[in-house]
Amino acid sequence: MYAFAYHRPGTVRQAQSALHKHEDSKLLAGGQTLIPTMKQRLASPSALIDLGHVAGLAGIEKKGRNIVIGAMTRHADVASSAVVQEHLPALADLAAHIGDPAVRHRGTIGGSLANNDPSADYPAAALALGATIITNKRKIAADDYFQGMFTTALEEGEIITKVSFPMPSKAAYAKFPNPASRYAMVGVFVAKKGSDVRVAVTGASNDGVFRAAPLEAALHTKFNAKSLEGVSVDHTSFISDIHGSADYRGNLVTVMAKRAVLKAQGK
Amino acid sequence: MAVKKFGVGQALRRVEDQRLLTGGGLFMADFNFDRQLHGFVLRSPHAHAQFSFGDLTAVRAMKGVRLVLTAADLAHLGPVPCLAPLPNDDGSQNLVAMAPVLAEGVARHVGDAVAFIVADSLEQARDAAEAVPVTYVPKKPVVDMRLALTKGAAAVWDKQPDNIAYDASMGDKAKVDAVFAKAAHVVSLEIENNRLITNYMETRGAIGDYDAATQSYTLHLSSQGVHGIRDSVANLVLKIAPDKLRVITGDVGGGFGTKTFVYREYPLVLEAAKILKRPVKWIAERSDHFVGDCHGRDNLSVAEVAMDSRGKFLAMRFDILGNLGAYLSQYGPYIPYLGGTMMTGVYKTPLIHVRVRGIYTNTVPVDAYRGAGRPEAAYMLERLVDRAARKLKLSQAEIRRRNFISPAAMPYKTPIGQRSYDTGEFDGHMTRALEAAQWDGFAQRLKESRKQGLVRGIGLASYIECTAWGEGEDVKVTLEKDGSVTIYSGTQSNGQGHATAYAQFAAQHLDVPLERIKVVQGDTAKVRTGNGTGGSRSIPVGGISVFRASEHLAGKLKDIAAGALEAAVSDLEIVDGHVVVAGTDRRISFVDIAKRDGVTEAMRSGQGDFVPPDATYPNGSHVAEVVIDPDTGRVTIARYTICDDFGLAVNPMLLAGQVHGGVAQGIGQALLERTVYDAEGQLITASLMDYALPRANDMPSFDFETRNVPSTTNPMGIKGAGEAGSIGSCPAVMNAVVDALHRAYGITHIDMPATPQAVWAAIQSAKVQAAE
Repeated sequence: MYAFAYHRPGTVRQAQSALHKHEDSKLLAGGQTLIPTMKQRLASPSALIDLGHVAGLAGIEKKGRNIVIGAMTRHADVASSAVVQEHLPALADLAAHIGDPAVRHRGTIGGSLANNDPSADYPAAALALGATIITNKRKIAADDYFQGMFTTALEEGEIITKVSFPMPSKAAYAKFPNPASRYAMVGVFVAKKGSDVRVAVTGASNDGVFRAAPLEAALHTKFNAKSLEGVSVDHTSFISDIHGSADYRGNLVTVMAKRAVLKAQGK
Repeated sequence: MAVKKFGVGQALRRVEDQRLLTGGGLFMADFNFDRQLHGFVLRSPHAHAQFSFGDLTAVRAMKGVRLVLTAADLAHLGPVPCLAPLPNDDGSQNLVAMAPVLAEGVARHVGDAVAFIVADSLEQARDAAEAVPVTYVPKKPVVDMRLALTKGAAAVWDKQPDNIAYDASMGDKAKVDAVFAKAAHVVSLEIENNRLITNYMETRGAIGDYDAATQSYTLHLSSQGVHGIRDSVANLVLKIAPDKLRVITGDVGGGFGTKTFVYREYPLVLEAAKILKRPVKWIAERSDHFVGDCHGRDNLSVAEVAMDSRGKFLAMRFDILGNLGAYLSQYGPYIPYLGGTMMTGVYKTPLIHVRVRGIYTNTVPVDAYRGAGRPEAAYMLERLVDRAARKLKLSQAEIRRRNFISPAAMPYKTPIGQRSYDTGEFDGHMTRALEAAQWDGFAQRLKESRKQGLVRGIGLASYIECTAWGEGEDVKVTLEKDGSVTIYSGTQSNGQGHATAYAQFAAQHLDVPLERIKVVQGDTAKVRTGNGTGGSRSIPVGGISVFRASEHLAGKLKDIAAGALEAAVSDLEIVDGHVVVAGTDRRISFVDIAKRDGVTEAMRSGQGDFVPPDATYPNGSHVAEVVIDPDTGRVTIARYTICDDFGLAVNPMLLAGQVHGGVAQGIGQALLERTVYDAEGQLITASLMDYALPRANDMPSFDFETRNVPSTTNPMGIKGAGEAGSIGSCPAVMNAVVDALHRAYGITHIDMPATPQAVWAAIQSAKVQAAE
């Protein structure tokens, strides 16, 4: 690890100004990706601005037909939240299976969404549920937010403060873990809200999380695993590595989507 | 043997656990010394490259930097020794390429050590390493073993242009070939044994210290035995008298064979400590482990069996390529050869021919890893036997039953490898394993799986292995003045539980509770000799020595007590830390014996030095049952049954732990662990993000039992158990995977590891073939 300055702001405004003041600084929001990367000397921010002590960034509440989760809420807290378990059980289930216990007790939803790792779990939930990413500057619809692997709509100095998830009528997440890292090799989040069905896929594509239009169309006709029989997504831009070819990942998308639908139906 | 409360045969809980599980362990990184400096190894990023250094003055002047060593500074040191080079069949010797302590102008694998930097802090050493001006001129690497053997292939070593470290064989080729030419059935199998990266929890580490006044060195390191490392480092690398080097090992977080060897960092920290006159500490990071510690396995083989019309094995032949990496490690060349000597397995095949070639490649050196050759042998043979059964439409059990060596044939001289199996009831073990596994109920379970759209298979492996051969162990057991007992042993726990098991051997004669018995190990200044832990030898060799030393001590204590109690030695017995006149209340405590006037330490110490006359041959049958999800290719182990013959169980709980751990490693190799080099020799699986280790939830619940047949070459009948789990498991699991895939899709072969993607791809291509 290279030397860096450490800042511990108490408010989002202070965090923003620290970020502005230090060139090449990074927000620390759990650090489950950033710290290992720094330890390997693959990242060398001049300063870390720790959001861990900013008041009001963590917490979960139900606001009307939405579940609103503070950016610094840890995965373990989402997993064990009675509110999430009651109104958005698919999200609690997803959070309960991120990484390992250490990761779940340090990593945060805001950190995960800001990093937008192509194999991270939360982006699939945010995109499939049509979440709104709320920052210190604006509100961004999930459809506009994810812009490719490790790329988001966040601008310089923009800090995620909350994520608002509309409550679906049915939803579930099915993940096939990478045998080594246990990140999602393919993770499919399926959400049905009224007649609207959204299917988001993580882990598979070089372009990061995406909506699987053919699967959505098939499920729109009938929300049933059988509807997905023979339906596949174009996998030309899929990740191909030692763990899985693009073909294999393409197959997994449909398989995991079917399993997510069955799970959403309580089967 | 008499049943003693704390004695041999009791499933006692480990005396080590309270301390280790409450953070009381002292592992290598926990040791720190005053004025200690930190070392960092600069490693080659290229698989094969010429390199040269620019001016190092600026690096040496960097803040905190104390020393930068390159090969130019180490001309007086010997290379990291290979103790087991092998000649060719004709007696000639190919190049024995040993690793210089630092690479001399040519880097030969990714991770090859090119410089050693010592600084006040590790971060300063790393900063300096990044600043070292080194220019690499890449050369063509040799990565794949088969390509290494092709004409016109690049050479790892110019002096050995064919990349062959040795070409050796055993058995009569002409006779074997003649049988093959006439046999009713011939079955052959081309099979890979995948390269493994050990990944013990505790990475290696070392601290070197030097005392100028006495010109003596101290090396603290995480190892599997201090004496061998002392002798090699002193005699062959530093070229000093062994008594000028003290080697100390504390708690060890896993070894699996890989921590047996001398590595470059050991002379490096010693040399740096001598130059700087300060202790120098080096701890491997996980990424150092992947490219700086020896790898395991990595064989490509062709196995063939010739049979008569009823499936009787008439002859077998094996052609084994063993990847040895860029340098010959301590025992590297011997490992695939050792596997070759075990190709008889449990079958009465009269004629066998084995050819073994050790191959140089631009990869990390390969050496012993849990089982060391025996897992490779059992895997290849048991896969071949299953394939033969399929061809002859015999059941897995039937083909084995027709070919097993019978108990009446013991001792059995193998046609190759000059081995003599002392005991073995192979049919008995297989029959019991099949029964315990409810093999007969498989058809019903298969039906149920099919209903759920799942693919199910069952696999069997009957293995034999060899343990505890070679050197003895010289053990001393001393009664201390407080009545406690100290065992001085030259084996080395890496976590197995030596302190518990050895105490049980001692308690058998001395009848004291385990917490009153201490094991001293891992210090050449405290333990005179030793041959370390490896080859499953600590119990069948070390344990016997402890047993004998304790018996010796018990006799001496009785002699002293006889005087004190005015009784005949023959009337005395040892009960609960006392010598007692049998049938009376006359007794003297160990404390009183130890404190008696005129009783010297020698008088209250016993010696035991058991040298095994031959190897022991543990064996058994494993049955694995797998369920495959055809949509994802994921293999789940539904049931796992083991029936083993370890001769005698010293502590059934520790024994089960050894077997469970070994099987877990075997399952890891069979289903998960894959070491991938690309064509340029870059290690793609160089971290745990890409190298898939097994986790607890990959494991089934094990159904383990023993059916012990005492060894006749071991005084207590014990056969070694440390490696067996890793030997029976790979073939059992893979035979089950192939059985499942064959039943459902007609697939006859898949290599390890049967990862989800590999299984899925095999199913897809079988479907395409079926459609054509």
